[in-house]
Amino acid sequence: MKYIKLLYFLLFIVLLSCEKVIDLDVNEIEQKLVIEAEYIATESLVKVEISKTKDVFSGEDFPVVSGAQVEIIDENGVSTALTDMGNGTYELSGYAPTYNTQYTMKINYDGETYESFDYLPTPVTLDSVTSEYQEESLFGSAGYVVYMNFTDPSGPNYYRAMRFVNGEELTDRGDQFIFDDGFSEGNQQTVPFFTARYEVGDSINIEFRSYSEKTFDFISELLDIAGDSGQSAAPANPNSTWSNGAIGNFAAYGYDSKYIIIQE
Amino acid sequence: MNDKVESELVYGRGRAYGVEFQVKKTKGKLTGWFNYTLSRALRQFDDIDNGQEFSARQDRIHDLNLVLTYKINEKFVLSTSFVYYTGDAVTFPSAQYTYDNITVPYVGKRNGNRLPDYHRLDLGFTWYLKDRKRFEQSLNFSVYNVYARENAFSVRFTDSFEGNSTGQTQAVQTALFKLIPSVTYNFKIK
Repeated sequence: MKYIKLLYFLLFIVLLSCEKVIDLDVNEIEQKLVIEAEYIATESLVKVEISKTKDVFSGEDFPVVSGAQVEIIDENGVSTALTDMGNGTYELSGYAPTYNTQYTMKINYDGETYESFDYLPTPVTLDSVTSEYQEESLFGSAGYVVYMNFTDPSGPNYYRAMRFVNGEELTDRGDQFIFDDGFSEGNQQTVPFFTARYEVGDSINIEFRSYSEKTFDFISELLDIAGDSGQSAAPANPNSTWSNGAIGNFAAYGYDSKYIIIQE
Repeated sequence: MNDKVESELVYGRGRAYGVEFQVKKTKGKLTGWFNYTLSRALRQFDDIDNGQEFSARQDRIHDLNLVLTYKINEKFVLSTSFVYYTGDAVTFPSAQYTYDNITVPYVGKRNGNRLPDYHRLDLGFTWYLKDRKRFEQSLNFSVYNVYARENAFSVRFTDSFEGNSTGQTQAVQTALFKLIPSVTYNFKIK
């Protein structure tokens, strides 16, 4: 036993003592515009956040961009302007959706024009959110696992589920839940949030979004690159859907939400 | 699903060239050699970085080796070796941005960065013990990485390295072996 402890101690010294923070030269680039645009059809809300990139090791806040002209254009070419709310945020409320049509977003800033479009699919309905008690196993401790139940319509569908646990949105990279219907086309679906275990009394609200393929691809790529700490063989940026070299995407989506309070 | 995986591959061209030098001393008490290689290994893909040529990960521009052995007498031999080479070509983030409530690295030019250069000095001392009837024997004492250089095995970018609560991204280097002393007993049956 003594020797095993000693061995662990040596391993500890060898493995852990060799990690340290170093000064590195990275090739800094010119600041780029980052545009996060959403048309949340269910809320009739258009929301755009514009910021800029910053240096990798910078401790400052991300610079925000105010004073841009932002407009959303529907399939018939009718353009509606968003209001500059300050702090890099632009909003338009009361903008009623027409599902299964395309929307275009146009931004004018500093003499340049940036454009992106998205197809707004009809949101898929969440039939129910259920829970089931799981004994402690290899996959996790004992507790309640939450399931989403829905019927996948025919044709390709792209989903993302946002979770609000006891009123708090889970925004961490590891808590994101995004998937398509590649293996389950047109079926009745029961999808578990496998990694999380909940207790009696917890309230879990699921916002079940239906994305276009383009937005699904962008968000999936974004989450991949954000979850990587620079050790993958060939890191790459997500494919921006904005013209003119801006980073980001325009997402038009609706959602259905249901919640559950865990009971015995 | 795509059942023709090969159609997902991108094809490109590779190019490698270089020159090597060697100096060797084989006579006298002091023997050894010195090697130096200057070379490049480059790649070009139409689909990567707008077709710009970039360094392969193994693009080791300078590679230098020095090995020396000094025979003090019939019993004792001193030896040393020194290695130096250019760090691997790797891709680091060149900026970062915030999106969907997460901080995302903006990836720079493919393999446009370098790990820190690698260098290391080893020392050895061999003591030839008295021959026995049936075998020869010797004891070797050596030290790997004498000046305990922490050569980078990898570098990662993180905002959660021990004790960092600023939320600021830091470059964290992992080094595998620092100074390693060793003793070896050798014997050779006659």
